[in-house]
Amino acid sequence: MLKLLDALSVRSDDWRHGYDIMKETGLLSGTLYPLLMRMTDQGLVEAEWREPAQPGRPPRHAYRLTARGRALALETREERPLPGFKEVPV
Amino acid sequence: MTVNLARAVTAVAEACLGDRRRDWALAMRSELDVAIADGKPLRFAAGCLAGALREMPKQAEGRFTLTSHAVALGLFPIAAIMLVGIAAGFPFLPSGHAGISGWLAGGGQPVQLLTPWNRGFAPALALLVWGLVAGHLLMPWFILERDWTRVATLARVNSAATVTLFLFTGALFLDVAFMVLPAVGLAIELLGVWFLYRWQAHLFAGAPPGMADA
Repeated sequence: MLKLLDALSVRSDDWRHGYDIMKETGLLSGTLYPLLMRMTDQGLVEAEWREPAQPGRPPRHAYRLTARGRALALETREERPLPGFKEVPV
Repeated sequence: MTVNLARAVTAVAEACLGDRRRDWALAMRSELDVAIADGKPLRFAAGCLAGALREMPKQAEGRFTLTSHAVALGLFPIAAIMLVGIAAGFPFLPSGHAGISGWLAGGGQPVQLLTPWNRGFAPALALLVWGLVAGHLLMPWFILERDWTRVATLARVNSAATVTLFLFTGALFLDVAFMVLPAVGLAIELLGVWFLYRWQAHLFAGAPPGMADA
């Protein structure tokens, strides 16, 4: 969940699609979708159907953090490694 | 081939998610097109199915679906017992005095119970037994379709057929003890169906037709 919070908190105003989040976070669809469902149920994520960028394609479900989700992302920031840095065992 | 398989797997995942998660099922379906374009449809679809299966026990509708499948599968042995019975000659060739346990174990000496005067009933009895087998085989199908009108009709038909078989078996002086298995099978079937019917009535109360309330 922290990984997902981290990914969604970057450009938190932007709507993101499920497959793009999968590629960005490395989460598999079997992990990502149950997480998104739960976070939506808890009011941390909002979901919306968005028109596709390419005409003729079906609408896509898109997600972004709610104000509550953004607050949680800020609170838990210290628990997560900074994006772009790999933890190296000392 | 892979794309078709991925679509089929996603369709199963959609069914597992149920009505309450319909939006999420459609979301998975629309993302599958992106996964196909990316060349990884099967991996995406398998993940969706795994996620949907893990979600099922957490939702009331999912638990109901899982229980329905368990009950439906549990009803097949009843039909299987009837089929084995027919293969062993039930209700015309009971195994001597070995009783049900002897019959199940394949012991006892088969004894022709139909006499010249009651032999004319054999086709009607055979039809009744085959009708019961068909009824027990159809019941799981209707349960999984949640077609409770047909389930109720079939429950009445199966009950009537079992009672008729019981009466005829007694009237023709055939071994009534052999009716214990179909009677117990029917009782289990009726209890399972009643339990599921009550549960679904509670689960779907106040919801639009075909949709779970919560």
